[in-house]
Amino acid sequence: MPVFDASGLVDDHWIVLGDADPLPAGAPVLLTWERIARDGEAAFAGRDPRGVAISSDFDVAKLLPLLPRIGLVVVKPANFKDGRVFSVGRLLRQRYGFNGDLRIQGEFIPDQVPFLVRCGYSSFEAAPGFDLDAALRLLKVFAFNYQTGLADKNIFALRHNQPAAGRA
Amino acid sequence: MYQYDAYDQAMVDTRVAEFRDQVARRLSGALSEEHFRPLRLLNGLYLQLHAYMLRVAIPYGTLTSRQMRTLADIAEKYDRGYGHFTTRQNIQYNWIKLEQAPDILADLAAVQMHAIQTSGNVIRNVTADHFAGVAKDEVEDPRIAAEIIRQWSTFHPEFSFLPRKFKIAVTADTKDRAAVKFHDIGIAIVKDAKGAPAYDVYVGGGMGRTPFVAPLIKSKLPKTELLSYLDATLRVYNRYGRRDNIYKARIKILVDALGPEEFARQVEDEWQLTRQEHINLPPEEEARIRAFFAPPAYTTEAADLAANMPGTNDPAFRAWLSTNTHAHKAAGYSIVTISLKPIGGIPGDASTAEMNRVADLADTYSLGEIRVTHEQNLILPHVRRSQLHALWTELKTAGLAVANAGLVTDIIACPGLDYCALANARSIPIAQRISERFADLDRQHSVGELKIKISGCINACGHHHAGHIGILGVDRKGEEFYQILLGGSGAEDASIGTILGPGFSADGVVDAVETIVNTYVDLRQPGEPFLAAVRRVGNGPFKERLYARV
Ligand code: SF4
Repeated sequence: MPVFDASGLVDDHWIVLGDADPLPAGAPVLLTWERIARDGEAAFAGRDPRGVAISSDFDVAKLLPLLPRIGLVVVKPANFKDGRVFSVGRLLRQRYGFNGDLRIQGEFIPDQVPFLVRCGYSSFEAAPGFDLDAALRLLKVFAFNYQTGLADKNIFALRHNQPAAGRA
Repeated sequence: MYQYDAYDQAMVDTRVAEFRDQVARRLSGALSEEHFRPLRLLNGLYLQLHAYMLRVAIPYGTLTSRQMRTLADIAEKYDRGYGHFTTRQNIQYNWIKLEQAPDILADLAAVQMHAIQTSGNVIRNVTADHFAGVAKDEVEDPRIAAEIIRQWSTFHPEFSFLPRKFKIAVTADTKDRAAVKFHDIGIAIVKDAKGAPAYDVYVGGGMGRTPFVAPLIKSKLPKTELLSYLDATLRVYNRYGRRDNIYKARIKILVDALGPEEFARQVEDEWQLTRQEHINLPPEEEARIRAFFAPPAYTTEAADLAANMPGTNDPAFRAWLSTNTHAHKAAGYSIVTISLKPIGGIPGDASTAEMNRVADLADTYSLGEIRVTHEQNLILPHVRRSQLHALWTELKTAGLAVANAGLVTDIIACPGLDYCALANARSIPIAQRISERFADLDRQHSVGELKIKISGCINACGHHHAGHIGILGVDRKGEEFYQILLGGSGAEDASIGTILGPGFSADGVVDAVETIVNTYVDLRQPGEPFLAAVRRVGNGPFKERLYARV
């Protein structure tokens, strides 16, 4: 499935591995959380960063000790109404300071992309038929936001000529 | 009153453009109904039995006369000349065309209004005491907190796909007119140990098929911490609220399943972190919003302060004064309730002409300000006492001077089977028949305060659980039937009514209500209101009279 970010389609260089697949040398691989939990240090085999795939109900605090060695987190919603993905994003970015690529994969709709970006998602892997043009257009719709601590262009800060608190 | 600045205006204007794009994509087929549905709901657009319904937010129930005129125009231009004020300080239009909805939103945006988050699984339009800012004993104007919540909750990126809808109400008086304990979050502004305003936060109240009176989750939250605490509460709900069963998805179910102590602990743990994450409102922003709610310049003359006022020799005027006016914070002023419950009318309905008339009267008598109550009436919040009689005379000419606020014909009813796709039974005609049965105003006044609330199904939009007399429409083998509950209250002494016994037919329920009222009149002690009597004697005496075989 195609992957895009805020600027459009991107080349995805992550290799998806099943829980039984051997680790290739040197390649950036995406593992399931279950495999990382099972294999521990062996899942990294001295070569990070790794990617990790989690579901939306995953307790993200468990990732905390591994985050410096993780370059990609892929979050899978149960369906497009599964709003837990937004909390996962904010926790990873805002609370745990994750700096790698944060990706949603599977069922979501173009109109959610601006919210996903504001919650820290940086790339998107959508199901076939996804209206990419609409998503990219919608990303440019709102110039400001009311919520503090999330990103720049915060209205409360702009009103008082202050830099926005929190991280982008 | 709060005034939009360029940012607020840009937000609603942009929303209109965004929704135009969504409607165009839907009409062209680019957007499926499944994917469009949550988007239109975020803009207050429902698909009902016969047409689309648009629900417009009236944040914390405050309106200017200019805004009211726009609501009247919308009724005329896009609907059938009517609007329907709801139990959540919204107005609904029942006959909307999808392709016109973006134009309506544009008309609203021109007067600083919107339909944002009036439906869907989001933080809904925030409500407040309809006497906010003028109630005699309030700690501070609850609309300051409500406006802060309105802005914080608007397009919240984390909380726009919650397990279920989420309603917040704010009050600041010991007398609760906002039913805060029946909300997902109810905020009561109280004084802390030093006498400064602080928030008591109730979480997990609600009606529906499993009614709960919300437990107190956080006592005396410092005011500066409001948004970090709300973020923490919503995050616990967003992550752990049930998503597998819509009947178990409200936060009340989570609070009940965990128990209030454990729920409070989880929110507290989360809050200890969110409060360090720059989520709270900057103090200068609180000050900016607060300034909009400074009291207006009240001017009084000797006549306003005199004990006597013109017209009190007229018993009809006196009757209206006793039910439809309330004490105002400022000497010489009164708060006036305009009843939208004419005998035999549809509770909460107002015609274009009536809305325009109320707007004019607000300009003449109430500093251009109007309030909408969760009991589906309107309020003129600042009326000089010396002008009450003149106002009443004009209201009477307009057919808006019914002296029944808080009485047996001041009925709350949901749209029911006349409009609602989920209904089991009609609500509006039942309200109309009861109202006609008790048309005699002297009788109503002698019965005294009595709140009847009617829902057309278990979803309880008519708040039947909180009615002194609650009526619930049910389907019995394809026929409309009505259960009666007694002893509910949505006020500070919140309680859930209990079912009396077997249900009644549409005709029978009106007789049953009359029997209940007569039973009360027979057994009450001097000065004892209906609810107090029910609490004293229980359901027994009412049951006996109702179900006695003759
Ligand atoms: S209570 Fe039921 S019938 Fe009445 S408006 Fe709500 S869903 Fe519809």
